[in-house]
Amino acid sequence: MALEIREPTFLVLAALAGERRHGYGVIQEVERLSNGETRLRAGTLYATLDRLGHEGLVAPAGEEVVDGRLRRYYRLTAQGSATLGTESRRRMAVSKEALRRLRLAGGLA
Amino acid sequence: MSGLEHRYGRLLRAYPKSYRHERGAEILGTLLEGSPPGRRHPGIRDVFDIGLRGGQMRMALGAEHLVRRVRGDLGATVAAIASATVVVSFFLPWYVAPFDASGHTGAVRVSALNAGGGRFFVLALAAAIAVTGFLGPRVRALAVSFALVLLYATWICQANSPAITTAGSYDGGLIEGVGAHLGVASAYVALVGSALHMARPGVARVTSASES
Repeated sequence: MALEIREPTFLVLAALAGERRHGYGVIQEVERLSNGETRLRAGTLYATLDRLGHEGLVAPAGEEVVDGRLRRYYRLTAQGSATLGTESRRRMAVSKEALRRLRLAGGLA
Repeated sequence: MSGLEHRYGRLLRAYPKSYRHERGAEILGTLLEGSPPGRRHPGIRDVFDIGLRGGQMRMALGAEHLVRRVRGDLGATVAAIASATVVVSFFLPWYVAPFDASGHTGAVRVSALNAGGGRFFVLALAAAIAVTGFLGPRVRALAVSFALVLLYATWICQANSPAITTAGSYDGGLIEGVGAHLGVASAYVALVGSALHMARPGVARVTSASES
């Protein structure tokens, strides 16, 4: 696939896997997935969501008002799920191969 | 509205108005939800992040507008300027120059148009640009069709020119001399402008109604 998927984009897609989430929900899930290493800023999150929406990987999935604040939910589209699956497998393959080589070289405990 | 909410709202002005209208409330909600209790001012990283994203979006929007102008409005504008130039440079000297031309006797007779054509052309171009700037999109669109009529009229003039020139042996046409040639060139520019105008998307909407 020609589409380049950078880390924040990958994390946003992963955060939406199998579950719709609103903006702050995505930020929290990304933080959890990255073991607290990545905390997306709101501006970056919405720029990413806009782009993914444009590419047809993410779609709005309802709105609600909580404590007088508007929450808009997002979900993966079928295309988004497929893209996330492909990218996950690609990353896993690279990781597996890297670990195998490290083991062969005796560099991994 | 809390102080923090108010300050976040002000921060969101970094985004273009249309985007703020569409997403502002949602982004504000996300910012507030992510703020630790007791926070009174937006964090520096959010200020930087939203400033950057808003700036990017404004630039993208500006580029989009520019492209739209070049593809559409500019075509009509070019057509309007050129048509107006043709009108003034062709017809104004016609009325003014015969007095000039009548003074010329001899082998070379100057057509009404050619006398002072160069000077008139520069004046006409300046006037046309000034006037076109004030024209609405509908008038500019009208100028497009007018440009086509002018081009046809130019050919007619060219064909009938010997009859229009002052008497004499000189057989030169109306399309003679620098000014007149520039006038004809303007007609062609008007035509190109019209083509540009016609080629842009949504032309029917713009020619029948005002542009948003």
